[in-house]
Amino acid sequence: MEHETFREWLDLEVDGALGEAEQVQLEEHLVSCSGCRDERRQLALLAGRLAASRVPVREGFATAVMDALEPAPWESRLARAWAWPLALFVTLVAAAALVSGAAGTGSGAAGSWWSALAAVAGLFGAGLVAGSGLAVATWTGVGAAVVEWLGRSPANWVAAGVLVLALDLLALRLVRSGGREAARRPAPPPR
Amino acid sequence: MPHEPSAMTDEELVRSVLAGDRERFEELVERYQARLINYLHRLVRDVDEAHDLAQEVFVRVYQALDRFDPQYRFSTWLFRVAQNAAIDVIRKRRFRLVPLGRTDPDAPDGGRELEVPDLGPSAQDRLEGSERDVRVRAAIDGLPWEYRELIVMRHYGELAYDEIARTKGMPLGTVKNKLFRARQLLKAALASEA
Repeated sequence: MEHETFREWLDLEVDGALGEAEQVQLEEHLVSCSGCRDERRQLALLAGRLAASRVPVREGFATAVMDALEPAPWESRLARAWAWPLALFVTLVAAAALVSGAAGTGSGAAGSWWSALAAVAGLFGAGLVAGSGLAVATWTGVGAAVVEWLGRSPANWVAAGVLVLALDLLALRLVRSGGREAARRPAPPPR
Repeated sequence: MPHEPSAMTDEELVRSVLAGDRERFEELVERYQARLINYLHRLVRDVDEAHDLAQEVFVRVYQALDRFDPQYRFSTWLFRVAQNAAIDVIRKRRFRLVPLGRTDPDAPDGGRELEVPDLGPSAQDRLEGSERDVRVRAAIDGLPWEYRELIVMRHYGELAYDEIARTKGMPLGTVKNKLFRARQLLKAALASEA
């Protein structure tokens, strides 16, 4: 083994970056090499001097940073994203409470709130069923229209085939260019 | 109310902050403040400026937190932002002039003060540093920039070899090699002063 290699290993050792196998070989070498033992001592001394020259962090630094933080652009986006669903939910709950209150169940506050929640759940359920029905009906309608259009002429079948092929090629190209772009991206945004 | 320090990874903390738990960012600050300030201190050579700059870096990182790419380590991103900020400061400082307080009476304009670029450590910095620290600092400052940067990243930023490689965009072997050479130069410089 080259002597210079052991010097490089000593340098890695001081950083705790030397592998176990190399560490064993290094220890064996150090038994018989006073020059490397001296090098190890000097490196440890250097690391100690560098560590001793660190400056302390000023008290309250983290708090000062938190105080200096202004609302980030992504925070307002986060708030905006939740604003509409939350407003809708609150409105629905309020509406349900009003409706159930007007119905006059007369069974006290707990009964009234239970009715309100049941009404909201019913409203959501009805919305879900209606939405699903609408989606199914829409797709059925689109399908029927396409079948009808295709049936008019064989040329329509050819046109549809070309259109599907073109869309496939476009999708393939977008996927591949996206992959190349990701591979080219060198590093995270620096600032 | 601040959270107790958790065992969450940096990336988990970032996700938590992005999900609306703003206080988790303080945990990231506490995790990196000492390393970042020391890293910046060795580059800008002024304790006050290092603290100010570190604060600015944390604020900048917070503002752009949604752009953090989790395939990289948070530390790599943070130190890259810090490195750019430090370079900006050093670059601006090259053009900052300080009066010497000396005049030239023979000059036609009646003797305006002569000016030279301020490149040395501040007076307060000199007072704060012990003589030993001053020698270490002088030895580091005497290194070529490419070595100095790596020594500062490793010993003051406490970045691992692979983090340095990613931050600098250089192969791992090159990082090891340059750090080896840098330490040899540092040892020699400190030995000659002893």
